[in-house]
Amino acid sequence: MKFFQLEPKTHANYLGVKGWAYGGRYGIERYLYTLQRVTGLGVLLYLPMHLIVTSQKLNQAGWEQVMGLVARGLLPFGEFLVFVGGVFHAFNGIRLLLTHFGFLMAQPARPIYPFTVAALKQRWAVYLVFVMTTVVVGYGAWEFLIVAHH
Amino acid sequence: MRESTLWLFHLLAGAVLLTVLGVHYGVMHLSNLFGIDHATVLSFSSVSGRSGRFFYLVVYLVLLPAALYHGLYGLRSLIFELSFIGLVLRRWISRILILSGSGFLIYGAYAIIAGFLG
Amino acid sequence: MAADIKQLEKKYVGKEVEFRLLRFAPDKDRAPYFQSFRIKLSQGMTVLDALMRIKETQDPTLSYRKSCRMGICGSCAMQVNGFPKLTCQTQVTELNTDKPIEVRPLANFPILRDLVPDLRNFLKAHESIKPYVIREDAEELDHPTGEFYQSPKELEKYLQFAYCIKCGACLAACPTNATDHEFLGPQALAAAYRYVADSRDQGLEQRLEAVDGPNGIFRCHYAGACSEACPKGVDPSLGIQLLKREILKYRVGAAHKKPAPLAVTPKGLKRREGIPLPPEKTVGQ
Repeated sequence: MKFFQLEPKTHANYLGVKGWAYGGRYGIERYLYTLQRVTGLGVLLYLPMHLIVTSQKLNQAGWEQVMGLVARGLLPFGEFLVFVGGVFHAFNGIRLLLTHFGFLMAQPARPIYPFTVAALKQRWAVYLVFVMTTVVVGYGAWEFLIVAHH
Repeated sequence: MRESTLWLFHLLAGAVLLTVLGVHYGVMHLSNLFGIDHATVLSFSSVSGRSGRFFYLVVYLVLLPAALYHGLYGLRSLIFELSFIGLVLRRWISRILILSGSGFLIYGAYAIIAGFLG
Repeated sequence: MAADIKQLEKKYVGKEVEFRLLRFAPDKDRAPYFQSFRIKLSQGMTVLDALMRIKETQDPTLSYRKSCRMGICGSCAMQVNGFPKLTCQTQVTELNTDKPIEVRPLANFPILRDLVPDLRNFLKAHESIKPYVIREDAEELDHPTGEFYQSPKELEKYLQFAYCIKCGACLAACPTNATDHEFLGPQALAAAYRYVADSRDQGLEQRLEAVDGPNGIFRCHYAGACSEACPKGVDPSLGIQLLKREILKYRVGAAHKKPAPLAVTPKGLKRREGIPLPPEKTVGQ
């Protein structure tokens, strides 16, 4: 027996893609979610271009021509940004990888007020991600932007 | 294929990338640290010299599929999380990603192997 | 902390505060809009109290959901100044702001009317993960003859996730739910873990149908916002990551789980004198 069901009219109230960028006063982890996406997407977009450029290594004339091409204007700086994105993505990826397998996480406990949040208990790992990224990117910057042009 | 299988490969590819992309970054962009002169690292002789070595053949043959899979699965996740993508569209997006990934894999593998054989 | 609250009460109690409420009547409004109300704060007044006061004294058409008024039923979760909260547990003074207090229905749910979110998909997601103990000995479940053994340690593995009141605050916080309307959501996934981690349960494989789907657990990328928003300390993001580990264990064949056995009633023991008899059994007669 099928009952007549009233379908209520509703209004969509999803945060949408904007919700990735800003959702409210949450911890930094929610914004690392977005940063991980943006950096991943940046490195992915670079990959096909990089493949096409580096496959010119099969002959010397083509290689020298394409190397001259990518050294123009802001392109080296763009490459540096991809490097920064890649380094952050890797270190944050290690944090996520360990978390997905349940390491770095607190164990379940009785929820007694004030409640603890396992995600916030590993804030040190977030800081470590930033420190490691800064160290590697700092050294990379020296080689990318200074050594490479002398 | 089950989502958990795809996701597990994504994580494995990520773990592999940490190593081989680490080698790639180390050689290309942090070369001074390892005693390689940065000025020559991109010269044709240096590049083709590396291409001929078995170590780099292995590194790049591992790096290429891992990077393509990790990246394209990540892109697929991102696209699938946008709700206006329906089921039929999803199937087509998966096919397009597999096709383009395979295309780049063949293209890149050709360049790596041809570079090794000189 | 107590001193802080006293100071805050001194600062705000008796003052008139402006509430900006999101209004939407599906039969006449094309889009939601904000409407302002001013009320005088009394001591200990929660945001829900304020909404009730507004409904009683200023606008009887204002719609919102509430039931228990003490953080048990999970009906009254709303976005208060941009953060999902149980309005019955949020005192107006603790918001500590002179600006108008903005109350909207929970984000990432369709609006039915004013501050009332449409929870149908949310509850369907919860249903899809089979939120009950599943065992191979179904006969024992249908016609129980006793209890199952469970140690306090085994209980603690899932107890935290059993505190969920299904208020929906976690979905309002989740960045994946912001775009993926079909995503199961932190609530259903944490509930799935609650049963998977239960020593009496054998239902992981059955739950995988929903959990391991294209809109399932692997759409979670661990933003942790759901746990921050949870008003009951359930910590859904923790449950989800632990469930991921369980699924991987299962997929590599390492999740051999023997369900908790039936407790045996000791026989042949003599009752000490003066101890009253237990009440009559309600099951297994």
